[in-house]
Amino acid sequence: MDQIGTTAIWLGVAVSAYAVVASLVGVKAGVGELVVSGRRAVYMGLLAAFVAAAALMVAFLSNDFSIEYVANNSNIVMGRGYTLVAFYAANEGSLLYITLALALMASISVRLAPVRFAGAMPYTVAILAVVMAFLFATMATMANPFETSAVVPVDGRGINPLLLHPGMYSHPPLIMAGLVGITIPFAFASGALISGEYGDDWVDIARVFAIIMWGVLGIGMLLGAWWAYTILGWGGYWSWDPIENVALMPWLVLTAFIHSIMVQRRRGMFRMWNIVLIDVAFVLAQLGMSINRGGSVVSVHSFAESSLGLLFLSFMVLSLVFAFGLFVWRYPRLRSERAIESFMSREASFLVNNFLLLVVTAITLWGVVYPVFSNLARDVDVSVSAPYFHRVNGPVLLLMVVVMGIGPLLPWRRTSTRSLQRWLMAPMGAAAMTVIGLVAFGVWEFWAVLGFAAVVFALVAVLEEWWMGAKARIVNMGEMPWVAWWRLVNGNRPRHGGYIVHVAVLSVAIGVIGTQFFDQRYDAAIGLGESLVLDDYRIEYVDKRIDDRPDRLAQWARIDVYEIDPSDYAAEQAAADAIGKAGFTVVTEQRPGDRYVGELEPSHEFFRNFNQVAVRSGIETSPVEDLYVIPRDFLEDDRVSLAVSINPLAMWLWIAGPIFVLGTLVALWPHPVLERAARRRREEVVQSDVPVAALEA
Amino acid sequence: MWHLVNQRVLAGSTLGVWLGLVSMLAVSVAACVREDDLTTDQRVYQLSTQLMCPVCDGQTLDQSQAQLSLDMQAVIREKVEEGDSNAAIREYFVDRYGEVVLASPDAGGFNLVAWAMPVVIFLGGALLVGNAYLNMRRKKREANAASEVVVAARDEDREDSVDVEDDLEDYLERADREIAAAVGRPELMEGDGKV
Repeated sequence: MDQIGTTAIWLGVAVSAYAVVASLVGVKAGVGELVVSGRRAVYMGLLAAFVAAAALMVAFLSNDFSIEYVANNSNIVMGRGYTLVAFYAANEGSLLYITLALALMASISVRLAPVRFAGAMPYTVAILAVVMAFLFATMATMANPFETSAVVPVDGRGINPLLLHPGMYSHPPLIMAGLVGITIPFAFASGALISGEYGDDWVDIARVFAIIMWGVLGIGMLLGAWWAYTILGWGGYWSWDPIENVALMPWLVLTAFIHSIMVQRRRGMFRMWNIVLIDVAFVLAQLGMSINRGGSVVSVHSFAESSLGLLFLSFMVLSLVFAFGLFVWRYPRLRSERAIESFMSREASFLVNNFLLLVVTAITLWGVVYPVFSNLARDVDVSVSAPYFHRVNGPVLLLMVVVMGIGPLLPWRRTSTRSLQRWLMAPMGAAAMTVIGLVAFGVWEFWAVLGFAAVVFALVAVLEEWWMGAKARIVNMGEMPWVAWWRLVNGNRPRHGGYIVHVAVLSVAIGVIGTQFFDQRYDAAIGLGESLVLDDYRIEYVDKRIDDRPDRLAQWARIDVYEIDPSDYAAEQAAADAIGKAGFTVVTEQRPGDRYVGELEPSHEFFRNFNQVAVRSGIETSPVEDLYVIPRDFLEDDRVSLAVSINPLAMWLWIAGPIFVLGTLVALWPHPVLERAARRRREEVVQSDVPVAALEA
Repeated sequence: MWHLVNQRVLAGSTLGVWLGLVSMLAVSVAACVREDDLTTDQRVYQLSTQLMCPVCDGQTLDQSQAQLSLDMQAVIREKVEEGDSNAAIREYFVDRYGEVVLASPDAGGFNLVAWAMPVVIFLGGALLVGNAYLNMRRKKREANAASEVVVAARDEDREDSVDVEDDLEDYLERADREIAAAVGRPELMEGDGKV
């Protein structure tokens, strides 16, 4: 197996390199056959990556421990279902995985590229093949997953226990594929630039792939957050860890890109800007892959750590130089012929949206590199973690929610103040009522109130837009409201898909505000039969279970959750308050008013091989709040040390997931009529440029 | 006409800048510790979100299940119960583990750079965007003036035709809205109020 795999990887190097040379020579010398052959070499690269991946899979399935990578990431007892994840659980295999993902997406995009784009295709193919060649060559020379060892171990080391979870099937591969996939829109943009076909043809296919990568990254991050929250017992869902940040940054820039690219499609503006955005997204994705490969920053995600960080960083610098050079070279030809007409227009609101997204990106980048900077500048190590990012990014994100509300209400080109005022009435009113309502209910947290008001503002703006659109259909055609809404959405899928995604983002915002401002946390140790009374819950430690195996010590706490009337326990609470332990109290008996809600079975596992603790949380969830229990430690005297949190509105973070996917799919769904219209509009603009040039001459 | 718009833009960007500044100030004020109002547990939790676990990559104390993290939280509890201030407790850990134990750098000394940069980024970005926008306006104005002089009727014809085509979708969209707004309000309609 190792020979097949290694050979396939070297073949991958060869065909990718050939694709670069053939495409470039073919287009320069005008040999059509070479260009076609270069394109087909990309497909051969896919075949090579596929064969290598299959070989590794077979090696895993047959427990071929002569291959170091298999020995390090698998063992005999490991479930065969996890072969698929062990495949990309560490550095070498994940490199093979991203190579396969890139080769696949490159092949699809090359196959789907419109004929109109043929002039730029050789350059696009060459750029795709350069990145493929880089990945193949890195594997071949520095990180071969098929490296064999002289001494064959009897059994493998096994996979990192934190990764033994179904979440492993989705979160890491999505993030890795999303990052490497940004190469596709970048290659199309750069290909168009090099060829001099700087028209807008690259925009259509780049948009499709940019939205796909953006959706993949977005859902990958959300799944990672969900995994961390529900399973890993990290307590939080997003900790502004460097690895999380390097996935977030390209996503933010892609968000800016898929907004501002609409302006180019619609109004022929922002041409230069869109190139800059896709370049920045690509370079940030390279940074992401570099940091994933370890070295420069400390992260909780150091699963694939290796010495390749520096190599990927160098590749990033090369990409940056290439993209920047290309841009400067073609700068004079990229000017857009139109200017923004009014600040009160949708294109201007896109400008503000881009500005805010890039500010968050830049600030996040600064937070990621500051520890390195501090180390270099004064030889002091510092940490930059969640508390920093909350403070510096929080206000900008809040502004972004507000802009998300105003933007859709602004028509293209310009609007009158009066019309805007009329449209703003409902959202503003709803936001004001939210503030009054929250304050009346005793919610005084300034930023939380402001945050909720902004969310309601943006939500009502979208609903108003939908309501006004659907109303005409309901009244005139007698359609059912939801039918009217669906037809409205279908009338302009890119736009309304975007609005659906906005709703998903607002749902995330609700969850973030709830959990960040109103979470409560209690740490206590209780014995069997004892209960913890907090807020309006009583949680009783009923039983425990132990599973002692050679590789791990696993313990489960069975916990019954009751909803209570806190006044039933007023006496105990007062006694606890008196000794300064306010917040919770430990009791041994129960009151008749307690209502049984459910049973939780959080676990605590110690993995001996890895000297590592993994906990799984128990969660009693509802749209209002989550009761979240982690067993931190099982003590000698049969007590268990629990970390109990109440996380308000956490469920809304996960509700956003399906809405996000729906919106992305709606926006992506092909829309022949609109696309033809956009193309016609562009062609007219291009044609109409001719007489002006003639006149000037 | 133009100077009015420009003023509005200026007012807008000034407002944006102020909003940003005020936000950041307010956040720093809001984040100031109100230790006295909190219970022991709340303070232990608060501090454990502000300190990193030294042996676990990138996790704060509250997230980590490592033994050292649990021990450090026990130390925090002890010190809170003894009446130490949050600042003193942070200082205690910095003395032992170095600055790296703080989850976010203190805003003082060299680390002011860490906190100042976001403000610089925001203001710098706002300046760039505002400037780009004003440039666009200026060019458009100049182009308009030039085209009036050089190519009179013909060019205008062309621009109009492009604009009409281009605006059709926008126009229809606006018309839809207006119709929707007017439906059920016969006073705004001619005829019997049906569309």
